[in-house]
Amino acid sequence: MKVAIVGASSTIAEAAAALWVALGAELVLIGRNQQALEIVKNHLQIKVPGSKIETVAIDFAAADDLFAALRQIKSLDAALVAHGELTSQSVAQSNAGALAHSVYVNAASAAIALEAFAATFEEQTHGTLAVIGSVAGDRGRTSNYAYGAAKGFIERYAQGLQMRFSGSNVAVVLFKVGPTKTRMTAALNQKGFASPESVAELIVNTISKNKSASVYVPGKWRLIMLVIKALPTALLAKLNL
Amino acid sequence: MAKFQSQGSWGLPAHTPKRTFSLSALQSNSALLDGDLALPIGLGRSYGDVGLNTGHTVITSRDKNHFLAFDRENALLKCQAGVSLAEIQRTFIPLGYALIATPGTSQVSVGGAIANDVHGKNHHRVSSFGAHIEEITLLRTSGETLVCSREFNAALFEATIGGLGLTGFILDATFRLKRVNSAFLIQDTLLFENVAEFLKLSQESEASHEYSVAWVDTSKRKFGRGFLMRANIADDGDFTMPASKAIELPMLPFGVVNKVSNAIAASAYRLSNSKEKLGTKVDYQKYFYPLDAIAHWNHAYGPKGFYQYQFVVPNENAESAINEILKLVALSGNQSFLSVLKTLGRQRPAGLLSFTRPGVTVALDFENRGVETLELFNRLDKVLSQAGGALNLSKDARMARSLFEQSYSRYKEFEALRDPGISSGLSRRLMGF
Repeated sequence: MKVAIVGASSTIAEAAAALWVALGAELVLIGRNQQALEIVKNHLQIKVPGSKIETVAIDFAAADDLFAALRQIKSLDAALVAHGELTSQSVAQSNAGALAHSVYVNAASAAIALEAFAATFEEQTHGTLAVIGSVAGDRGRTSNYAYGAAKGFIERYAQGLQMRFSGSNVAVVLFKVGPTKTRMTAALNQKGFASPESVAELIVNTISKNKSASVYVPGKWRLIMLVIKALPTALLAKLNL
Repeated sequence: MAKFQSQGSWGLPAHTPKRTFSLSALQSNSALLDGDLALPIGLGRSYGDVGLNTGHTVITSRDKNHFLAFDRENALLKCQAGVSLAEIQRTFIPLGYALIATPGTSQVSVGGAIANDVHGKNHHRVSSFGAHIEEITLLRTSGETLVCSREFNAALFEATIGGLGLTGFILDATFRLKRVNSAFLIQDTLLFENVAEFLKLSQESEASHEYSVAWVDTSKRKFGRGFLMRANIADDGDFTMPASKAIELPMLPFGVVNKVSNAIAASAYRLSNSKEKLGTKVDYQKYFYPLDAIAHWNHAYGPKGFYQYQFVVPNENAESAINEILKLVALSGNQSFLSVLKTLGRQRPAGLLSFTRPGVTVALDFENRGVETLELFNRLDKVLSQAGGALNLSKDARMARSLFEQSYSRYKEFEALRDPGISSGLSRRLMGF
């Protein structure tokens, strides 16, 4: 099995990579920072001596380069698009550059990565394409709609891809991840957050099924978001979540 | 915006730092601190205020969790400060290597294990965690990065081992592992009736067994009796790894540990170990880290938290001082359920502020009953002080400065090597800043 991971030095992606190498998978680690990728690669090879791992550092800001670089990666069984940045809502409201950057990183660059792998899987006529969305994408809320809107975009994009590949051997999986103890959320109160290991385990297991799906991670968020989505706007606004 | 997490203490109730940064963020931008006093924290398993920096900045090493290099030939591991001991054991035991010294929980970081110079059930053979460190990379708040070893920056190296995080931020460390041929130990459980018997049994066991630790009863009627668990690592090539999943104990609105439950639990524990058993095969997790099976066992004490009172007394005063202290505890009615007894080796302490020193150590856990508990500790301190003993700084939340200065004789040398931008609840309490 060969898996490509975009945003491979993110906490959840790394935990998933550790599970994959333990299962004997070959990995392609993709990210912005070569040094960070090398640290992850080295760590995984110490954990599982002899594992086959490649690293690819790409400048995500250049859309065409990003697409072309990802198209180079061949003979894949699965790809996980896992990169993202937490956007400060207050910064996004007053800093147009930061807002545009957030939308590009969390939405546009993810879509570009998805399209690159979609083309590869279409060529191969098989593969599982997975992307990490967020429960924040389910409904716009006062506290995080800049980040949430970008993650909502990912859900629509994944839906489209699921339609496009329905009836084929290409599976498209969307993970709507709840708050997790990661580097991205290090400055927040992480009480009650999921462990990256448990999130990664569900991601790796779901991908191994090779079936299109949209999955809440951890599963309890399906119920919570059902309630949040059903609340009247006026009430939700008052709750200030 | 979500509230900042209270983090950094296993025993004390919520304390809140002003803000939290990751060690990677600090490393790439040393101006981040903006003059505020900072404190490195790991996995938050120290019991008292050594990991607290209320109202100031804490720097978490959680995202520095990578192995950097492993030299199989020399069993030398280099890893980042935030790697947990659990991860090291899980990764290397199947490859035939294990930590030389490990404390009673694996849920501590390498940085924390160095900063508290932790020890384990084989201290009598191998000394403390710090004794096996070859090199430490230290980031100071000045932005300077220093490589410290017994050859280079030797004074800072000795201060950083057991240095409570006050000498700088540990980025990574290089240390030795040992070769093992099993994930299991062969354990004997032996009974003793009093402290004198324990000391004799312990001495005998140390000659034949690498690991040795005892549990002691602190109830009014039976204090001093207990059982000793000694073990050697098996040599059977069985690397079947134990399950790593732990049961999560939620925070309860009130503690379930009290006089009654303590007495019941202690009797049950004693009863389940009431027969001598020889040659039992146990997995490493069960022998080294029995409490890791319950994540957040500290929640059993409820929101008020608990104290651990761990002391060491020199061998010549051990029997009388321990008897005196157990008696005071028993008379006070503050029974400790988890009461651990261990003789320490005669090696030179690895760090300037290391707790371990030749003698016998006892660790007692007490529910926090406020003034009553603190007054008991003051009475215990008097006995301890007269016996020439010391309290473990990584467990302490309340000792007087005078006891600290008396029992940590190299503290002045240490203070000169501190990073002026780092401070903790403990350092402000015992060293003035």
